[in-house]
Amino acid sequence: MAERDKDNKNPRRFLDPAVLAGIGRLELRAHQAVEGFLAGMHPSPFFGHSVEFVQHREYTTGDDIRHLDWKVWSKTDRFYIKQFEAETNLRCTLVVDVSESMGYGSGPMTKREYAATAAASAAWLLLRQQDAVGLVTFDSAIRTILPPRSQTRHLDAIVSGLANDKPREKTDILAILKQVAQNLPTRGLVAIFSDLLVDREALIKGVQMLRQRKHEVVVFHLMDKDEVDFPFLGPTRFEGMEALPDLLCDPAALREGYLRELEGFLQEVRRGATRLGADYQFLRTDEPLDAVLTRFLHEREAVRRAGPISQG
Amino acid sequence: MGGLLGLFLNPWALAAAGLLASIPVIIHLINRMRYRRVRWAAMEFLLAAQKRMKRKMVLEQMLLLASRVLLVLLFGFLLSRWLISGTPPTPPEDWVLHEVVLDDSVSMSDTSRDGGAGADCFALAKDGIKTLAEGAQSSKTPVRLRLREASDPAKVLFDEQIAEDSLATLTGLLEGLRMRPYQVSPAEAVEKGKADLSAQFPEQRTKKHLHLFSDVRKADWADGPIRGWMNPAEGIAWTIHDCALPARGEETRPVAHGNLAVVALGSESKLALDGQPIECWARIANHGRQARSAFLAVELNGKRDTSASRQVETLPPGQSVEVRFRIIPTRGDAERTETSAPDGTPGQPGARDPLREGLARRAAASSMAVRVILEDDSGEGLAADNIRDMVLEVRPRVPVLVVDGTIQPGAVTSSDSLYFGAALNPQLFDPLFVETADLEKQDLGSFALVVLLNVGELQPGAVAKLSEYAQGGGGVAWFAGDRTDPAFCNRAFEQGGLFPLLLAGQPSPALSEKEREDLKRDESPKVVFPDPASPVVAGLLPFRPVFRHLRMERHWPAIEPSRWGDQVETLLALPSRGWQVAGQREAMKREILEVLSLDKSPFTSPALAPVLPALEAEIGKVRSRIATQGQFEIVTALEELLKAQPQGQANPVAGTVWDRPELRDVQTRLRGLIRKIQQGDPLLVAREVGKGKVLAFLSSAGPASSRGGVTGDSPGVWNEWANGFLSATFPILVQDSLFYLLRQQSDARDKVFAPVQGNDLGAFANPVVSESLYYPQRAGPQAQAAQAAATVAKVPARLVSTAGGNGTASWALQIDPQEHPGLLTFAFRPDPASSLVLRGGSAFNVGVRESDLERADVSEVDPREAQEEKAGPGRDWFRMVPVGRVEAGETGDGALKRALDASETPWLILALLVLLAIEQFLAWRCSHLHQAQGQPAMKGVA
Repeated sequence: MAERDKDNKNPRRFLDPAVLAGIGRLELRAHQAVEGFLAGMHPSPFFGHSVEFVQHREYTTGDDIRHLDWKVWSKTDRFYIKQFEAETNLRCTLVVDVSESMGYGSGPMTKREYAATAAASAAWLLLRQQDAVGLVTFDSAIRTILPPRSQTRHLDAIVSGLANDKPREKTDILAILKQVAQNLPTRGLVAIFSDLLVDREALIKGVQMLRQRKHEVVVFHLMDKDEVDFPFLGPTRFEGMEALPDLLCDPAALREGYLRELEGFLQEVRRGATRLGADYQFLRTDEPLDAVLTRFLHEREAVRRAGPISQG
Repeated sequence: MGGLLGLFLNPWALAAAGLLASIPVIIHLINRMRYRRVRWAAMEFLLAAQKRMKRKMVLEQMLLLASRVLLVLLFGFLLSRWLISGTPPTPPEDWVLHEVVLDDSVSMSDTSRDGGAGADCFALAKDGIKTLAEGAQSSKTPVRLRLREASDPAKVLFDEQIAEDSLATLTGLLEGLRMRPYQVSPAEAVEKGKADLSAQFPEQRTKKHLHLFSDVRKADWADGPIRGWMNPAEGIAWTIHDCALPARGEETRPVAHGNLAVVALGSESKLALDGQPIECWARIANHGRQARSAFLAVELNGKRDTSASRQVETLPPGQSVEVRFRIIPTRGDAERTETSAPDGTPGQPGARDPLREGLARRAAASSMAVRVILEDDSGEGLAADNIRDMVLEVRPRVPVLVVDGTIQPGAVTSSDSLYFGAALNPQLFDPLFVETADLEKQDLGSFALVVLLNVGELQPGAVAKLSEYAQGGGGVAWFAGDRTDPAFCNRAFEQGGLFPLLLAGQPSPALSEKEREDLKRDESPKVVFPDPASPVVAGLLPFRPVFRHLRMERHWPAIEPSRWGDQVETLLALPSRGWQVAGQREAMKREILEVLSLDKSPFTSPALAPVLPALEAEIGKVRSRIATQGQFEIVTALEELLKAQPQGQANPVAGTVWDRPELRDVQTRLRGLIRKIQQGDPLLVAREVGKGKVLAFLSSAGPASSRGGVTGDSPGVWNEWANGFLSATFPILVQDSLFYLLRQQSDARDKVFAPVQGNDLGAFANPVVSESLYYPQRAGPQAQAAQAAATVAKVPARLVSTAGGNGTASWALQIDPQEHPGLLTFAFRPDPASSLVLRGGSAFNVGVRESDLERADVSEVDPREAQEEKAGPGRDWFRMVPVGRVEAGETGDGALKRALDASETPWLILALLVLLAIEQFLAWRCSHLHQAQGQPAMKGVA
């Protein structure tokens, strides 16, 4: 028992080797231009020295003549310079919901643990790409803030941050996201790990605020399998979390209505995220995390290669 | 359901039912206490779902709860009969006994006319009995069925436990049953069946059921006896199976078929004279809702009499019409034997054998078969009552036995017999004069009439014989005189009405010379006619004004009219003596003036203004007569006043002004005054006694009384009707009185069907029937078939001897088809050695009450309302159903029990099963297992 408690208190438990092995061959790239502080693998809003040609521009006084395209001059007798895409590293902020509702779990992991594992795995992946990773945990307020850093040792800080917070109180998503947006001076990637059992309007406003500040937003929506399937039978007293009232009922009788409400909620969240240009990923806590992340990264890569890069 | 209702009204039963009904609720509440706890994050969806589905869930749960409560209640209801009665679930009765009474009267021959030749009501009734028995055969409880016909209540036709073989016996028996052609009331058979049920099966565990298969006509319930029969306290369940057509539906009183019927047939005299026309009448009733016409055919001795037959153009609905026709009877083969005394002289009764003379007198009579047939083309209604028969006795003259109390050795020639004999037409009457002592020796059955002239007290044997004669249909006429014994007459009145009224102890006193002179000067009639419409006085009525010259001095006053007034018809009366007294006369005049005072009510009523002018003229005439005229003129004026009609109206049918309600009291007072002014002691009275009639003339037949009468006074004149100024009217008085006695009572011929009894043959030691002719009644299709064949059948008849009273033998003539309506004429010899042939006849007609097919209303038949007032609530012991509707549960195990405990009905079991299925479905639906198992969580989530 003591050994198990010790394991539960070990922050590195979120770095599941099986998961990391599953995603180790993959990379997480930003879909849109991000402003990094190092040269990296992510598109930058600035022109630089990458191999990716972007455009020709008429020469103006002061331009470096090394960039003149002499082939064009020979054909047109006019001076044009060649511009190439700059590449930078990514500033990713992991926003993890640690509110009370995230403490529910019918399987081996609660939603919070699942979210922490997913966030830690993402942090490991990004740090391995030389990207900077930060962490924000929140419930009714921000509980932990770790600014983005690209050092490898920053991973320990992140997993420690994920392990420290206990599920508490009701989520106030709008205030949290507003504060996150204000604390991120340059555009980067914001990954939200939450069950989104919050006010939908506030959630949409928060994401919208991030998008307006040119951040790329990825929403990892976590739900327990019980919350999705609602498999309860027999008289059950459901005790509400986050100040919601209790309800004694025959769950089988309510299942149909519950599922209908849940479906409406999921559609609303999905459509809101899509409308705002945020990437939405639904995660069931009973699914293997490596498979889920692998699928997510593959889909993301496929989308990046297929479509034009959004400039925010 | 009374028992069931009583059970539910019990407070303990209510508490038990409440406990039962609350079981599902308790189970539900217990289940609510056993739940598990789950800390739940997605509570908002759950709350929203609960809010959204709350109404549907509550409805489903309530339905489920209701179905479970009902299930529990129904199950408890099923078990209750065992728990309450404490008996095991075995058949509830040891025996079920069905007492079945079958109405076999003529009205059951009515058939359906809804197309084609339908079965008659009787066949429907038999089918209904068979259905009842077939249902009983499949019963687990032993069922016994007893059957009797209404026409023969004492005879049980079938009494066996219903099984396969006994059912076949019953079926065969039913096929052989035939309707009886006479009027039958089921009352007696029902009473008998009920008595047998109560007496022979007193066990409590025997369920008794009494079934009446009848057409339930209103006529059967008109007297309401059946209401009295039915009593729930007797423990007998009643079912009346209505067999009438059209079948009884929901209507309380279904429309009945119309029917034309000859309901009566008669003649003006029960004795017809050979060759003398006699008027007959037939009464035709239209028991329908539409006016009809029909042809009335008359047959005499089996041959159609076209001159008497006639078309009846209008038969108003719901009414009867009397059709009169005249026939000329003939004696046919009867021996034309003159049976009067050899000399026929009054006052010289010969020393002859009265029985032999009677026999000869009987042999002179013949019988004539008269049949009327109503030919109705519509084909609606009963056919059996379209024919009616009667037998007329035909004689050459009317045989009259005249018993004269004054005939004795040395009698005066001016006796009553002399004047009475002179008054009789020798062509019509055949009188035999005998003295009082010979009355007992005479064969009274050979006489049509017996006249008693101034007789004193008769021997008891003679009185008994005379009384039997009158009761049997004979006519007896009394003429009073000084030998009349008032004590004897009053005894005769008390002992069955042989004398029609009570006499005072003394006759009216003889008049003095002065009184006689005053009487001569009196201009008023000496005889008044209380009922001018009576046929007895119709011949005298034209002479009414000259009756002021009649000398009527003495008579026997009647006393205590309250004891005989209702039964006696006063045909003639003496004038009121009160008018002769000045004081009483003036008082009567004042009363008339007061009644007719026009300035008093009701003549001052404005409503009478239109008729007052007509009244004023007539009242003026009365006033003037009162001032100047005598008794007769005043009465005449008052009678004219009572006939007054409104001005401009001359139709007597339209009524008089006195028909107005305001004038009815005045009219009644005026009629009373007329009687008071006019009428004194009765003079000629008559009354009916049994089948016969008696008549009394309360003065003498001759002018003077005999010497040495019981009054003991000197001989004197009683009246001068036979020899005075009005002697020409005396034969009218005598003959009309005798003809009146010969008039038959209205229903005398409706009851003729019976074997010919001792009155006809009993006087003979060893009669031999030589011939019997039977005229069967064939109606409808039978009649047409019969016309091709002989309508007269010669049938063998046999004489059956029964011991009569007084040690004499009584004989009855029986023929084989005697229960079929028709006519029988027969001839027989009083003994094998006799050369005399006597003839008689008998007719058998359908009862008149069978003709009216109007259906009884349910409220008239259903006795429960009345019985509940006495016996308390309970409505399950009586049912009235269309025939053939026999429920399976009623025939065996469930008889009575079905009504008392609805838990026996299979419908309850079926309802329980259906409810169980509904409950299971609701429970499955409310468990939502169909949604929770094997279905994806939701679309689009993966």
